[in-house]
Amino acid sequence: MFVVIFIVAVINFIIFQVLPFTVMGIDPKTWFVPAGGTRNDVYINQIRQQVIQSLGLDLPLDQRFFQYIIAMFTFNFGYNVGGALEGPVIDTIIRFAPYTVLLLGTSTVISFIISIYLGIISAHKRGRTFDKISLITFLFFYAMPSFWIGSLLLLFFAFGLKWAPPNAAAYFSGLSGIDYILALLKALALPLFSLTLISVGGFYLIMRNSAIDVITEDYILMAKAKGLSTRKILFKHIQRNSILPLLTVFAISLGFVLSGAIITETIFGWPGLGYWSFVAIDTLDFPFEQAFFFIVSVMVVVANFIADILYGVLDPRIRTGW
Amino acid sequence: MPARRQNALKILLKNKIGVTGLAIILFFTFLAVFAPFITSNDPNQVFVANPWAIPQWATIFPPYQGWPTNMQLVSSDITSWNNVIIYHSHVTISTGIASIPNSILAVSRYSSSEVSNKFLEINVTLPATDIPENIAVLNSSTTFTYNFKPPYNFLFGLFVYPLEVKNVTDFYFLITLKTPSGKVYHLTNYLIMATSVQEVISYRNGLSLNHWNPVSLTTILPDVNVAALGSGGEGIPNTGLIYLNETGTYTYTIQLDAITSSSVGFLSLRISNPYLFVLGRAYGLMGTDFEGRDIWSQFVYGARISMEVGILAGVFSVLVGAFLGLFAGFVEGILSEVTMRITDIFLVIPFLPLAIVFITVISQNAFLAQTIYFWLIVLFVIFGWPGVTRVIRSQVLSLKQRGYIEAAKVLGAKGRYIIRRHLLPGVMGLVYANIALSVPGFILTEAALDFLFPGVSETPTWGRMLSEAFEHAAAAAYYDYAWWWFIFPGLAIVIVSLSFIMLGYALDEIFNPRLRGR
Amino acid sequence: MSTNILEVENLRMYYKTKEGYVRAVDDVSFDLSKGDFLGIAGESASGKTSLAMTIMRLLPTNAEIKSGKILLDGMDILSMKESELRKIRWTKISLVPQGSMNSLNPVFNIGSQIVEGIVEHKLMDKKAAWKRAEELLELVGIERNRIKSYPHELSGGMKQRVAIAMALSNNPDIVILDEPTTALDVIVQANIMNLLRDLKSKLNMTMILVTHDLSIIADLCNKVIIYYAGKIAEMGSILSVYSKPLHPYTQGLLASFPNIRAKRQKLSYIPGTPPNLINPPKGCRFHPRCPFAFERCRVEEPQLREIEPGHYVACHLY
Repeated sequence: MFVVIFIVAVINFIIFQVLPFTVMGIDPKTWFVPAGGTRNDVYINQIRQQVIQSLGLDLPLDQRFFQYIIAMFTFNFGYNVGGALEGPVIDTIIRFAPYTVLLLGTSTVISFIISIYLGIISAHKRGRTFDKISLITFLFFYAMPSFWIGSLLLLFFAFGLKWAPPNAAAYFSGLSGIDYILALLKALALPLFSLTLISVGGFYLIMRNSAIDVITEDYILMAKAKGLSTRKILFKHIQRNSILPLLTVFAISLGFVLSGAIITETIFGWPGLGYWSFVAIDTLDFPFEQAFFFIVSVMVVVANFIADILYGVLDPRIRTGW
Repeated sequence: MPARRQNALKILLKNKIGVTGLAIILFFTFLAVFAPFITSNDPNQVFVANPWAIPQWATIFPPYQGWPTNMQLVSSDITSWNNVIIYHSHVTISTGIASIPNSILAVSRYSSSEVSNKFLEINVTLPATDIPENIAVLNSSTTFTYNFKPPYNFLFGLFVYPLEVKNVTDFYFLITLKTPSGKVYHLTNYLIMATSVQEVISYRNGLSLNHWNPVSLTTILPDVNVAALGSGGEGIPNTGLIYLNETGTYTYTIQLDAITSSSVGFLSLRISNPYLFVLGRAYGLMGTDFEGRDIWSQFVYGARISMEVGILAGVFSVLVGAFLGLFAGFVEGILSEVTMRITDIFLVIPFLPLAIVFITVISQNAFLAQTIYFWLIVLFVIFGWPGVTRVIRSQVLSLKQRGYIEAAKVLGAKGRYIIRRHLLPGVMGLVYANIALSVPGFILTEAALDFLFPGVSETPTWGRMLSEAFEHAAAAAYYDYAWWWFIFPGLAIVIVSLSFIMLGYALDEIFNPRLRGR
Repeated sequence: MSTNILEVENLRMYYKTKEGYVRAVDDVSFDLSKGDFLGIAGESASGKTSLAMTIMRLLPTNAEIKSGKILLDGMDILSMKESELRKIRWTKISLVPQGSMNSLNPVFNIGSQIVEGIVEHKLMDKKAAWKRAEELLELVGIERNRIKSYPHELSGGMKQRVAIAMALSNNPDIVILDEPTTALDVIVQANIMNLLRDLKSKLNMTMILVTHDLSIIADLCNKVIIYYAGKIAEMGSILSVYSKPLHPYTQGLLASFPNIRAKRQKLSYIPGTPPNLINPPKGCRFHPRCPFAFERCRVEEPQLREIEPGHYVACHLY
């Protein structure tokens, strides 16, 4: 796993430092260092010096790479540039990451629960009306563009009925305490709904397929022969066995889910990492973007790793191989 | 091999789902390919009808019944109008045949069949006066019946050919509209017209001698938020809504006034092709957007990009992936391992952020920006092949387990032969299915990128249409949420994606008999 | 009459398919007394497994029970609702299915799978159930300490034993065993046979053994039904049927066993293939392959009649 992470770091370096600077010949100092104040602004200049030194921006490519690796793995991501964000990148990330975690986390949990439950029931009632309707509905959700449903929801509920704010960040920034929490929750509703609708489709389809495979297995017939209630059969035996493929897919799809979050966050103005990464690209905030890429890639690698472990926990057959 | 392909085709056609998918794909391909013939409007042409126009077929539904389409209300043959000389004994009228150049006629939105070639020629002798006096010369009027709901806006005017203007301070036109109930509106009143009316309707401000000049006016198009609310929240509707808000017979009058000077004056001019053109609130198959552009036209041209990018990216990424997968599966050993490691790395890099960065960088360079969709396909292929390679490689490995590969090797068959004869057929099924299944992903991603970067290209695409719709969401909320603008592009993306999924599902069933009867 | 633990009368069960009805159980009647060990012998796809499944009412959704009666210890099985059936499954009747290797859920250990069948019917609490599971494992010859093992950690033969242990867990009135030895090698087969013999003498239960292997029926059972194309061809005690097979099919089956002790002989077999159950042959279903077939056989279906006391056959020869 660490090999992969290292290689990812290398590629990141190539994308953000080698390509623009070596190939297009721009001085990294301009894009990685925050704008300086006047000569007399000691503080800013100190920061500039620090950044240049720690990231090795003055050094030739190979030495800079060495500095880069050290910096990445000590979470020294440099300073925000470009005007939209300020301060050390690591701080910005820590500040806004919780929003993304809140949105993505809640959405994923809800999607999971819905898709597992409905997927199993659909597999059980395969071919009947419930299944047909569910299948078509979730296929539709699966093929829906995230920005489309997002726009429609915003159009109808925010601009039309005025039940939700058109821009989340504007709605709750500046508030604190209980006001903040209430406003946050109100602003969370639409993006959460939107993101869940999109993710639930894919999970449902996989769960349904997986459950269909499991239902035809002999041990399920056996459970029925033992006189187990249908609910037990569905949600103990079938669930346990059919959830396994879903896990692996989830880990792999983490990358895609994050990408989807960029769009959703941007449409609703939800100030998470996805939103800011889009702003960062617009304002050419290289340090932030570089850090964002790195973090996302590492997360995907880690997620894959965790999924492998989880699979072993749930499927004893794999455990024997350990 | 050919026999099996024939067989496969037959099974595919029997599969209802596959056929439906294929039919939909062919439909959109047809739309894309024959776009210029399917729609006569340029997708970027503004004001083909009133902005925010609903689709024409929507007028069958109760809330939209009676909504006007684009229409010319008055006869363009001025000689058929009721032409009354007011300034008696100083005016003569005659008629004649006109020939107004099309470029000038275009101002009035005529269709060529409505052009009349008659003109009215007026000759006036004006007295000398100490101070300039206003003299009404000619009154031309006509009536029309209007039985639709009121339009938001209309265009009106006429064409003037001044022949001789001697010692005349100025001449101008006054246009009046009388409603069925008797209300009289002075349409050329500067208080209610958009432009400084005096400039347009009067000679001194722009009409040239011995040329046909258009005199064209339009009702106000206010900012819709203001329109909805007004300063006091009461709502200021588009002016068209006021003037044509009755059904029945209207009287429309054009009056020619002249202003005397201190010498005796002589005025000779011709007028032709008067018009009163209602900008339709219903238009075409999909209505119009906030600038009055034909949405159906954008839709059809947009299909091109979506289908092109999706299909090309799908085909090439899978071909590359399959090639590498065959390679990795066949050779084994270090080369195979390396290939798989590279695959893993690619799968980990977050694609959308990278694509966003990619597009931002490319759009900086004017040259590259022209062919941006080409570069996008390249990017898709580069990041699309790893997923396929994995699958193909597993398939090859499992195929290799089967006896006949060993047997072939024992018989002395060489690598290429084994690949061609034994591995390739076993893999082709997966290839077809994967192509069909990867296209939707590319279509969706491409649309998403278009949504995020609407300004990048000139061509309308579904993603861009939705992006613009979203930009004007606040306004749209007042126009019934502009459902015709929001629904169709998004729905198209969903349907096209689904049709590829259906096709892929059917292909999967054919080539993987284990799945049949799912 | 009340000593009959199972009574099956004119049972008809068909599978509905696109091509038509598959007549897997076509007018079958027989009785079983307590303590009987019945063998149902037939070729693959003759419908014998379907017969067993019908008795347990573990049929797929396209199966239709067209007519008949099944009385299990006096209870009318066919009129029971699903909730009632669930109560009697595993308590009054249990199953060791075909291919028992796959009837164990790979993600749960074998102990919990046995316990599950006990606890579900609220016959004991969990602790007692686990104790019982250990006893059962010992009964079938598996070490107690393997109770927490997972199915993939056991050999095929051991898995078979676990399945048998599970089926016995609630002391059911009837145990159905479907091809209990088919997927095993001969040594293991012999072991399982010994086990079954052992259990038979120890527990005195009623068993139904469904198999194509006549030799194990001869070894274990006291009654036999020869099943062909969805119908009973011959039925009776082991002694009478094996020593004096009446139906030509039975004769063919018994003759096709090579006799180790006899002189060198040509391998005899029954010509032809088993009939299609959607469109079985008119008249006697065996007539296309029967060396003794005559005109009547092609036209009229023979009824099952008692030729000797307790020995029934459906054949126009008698």
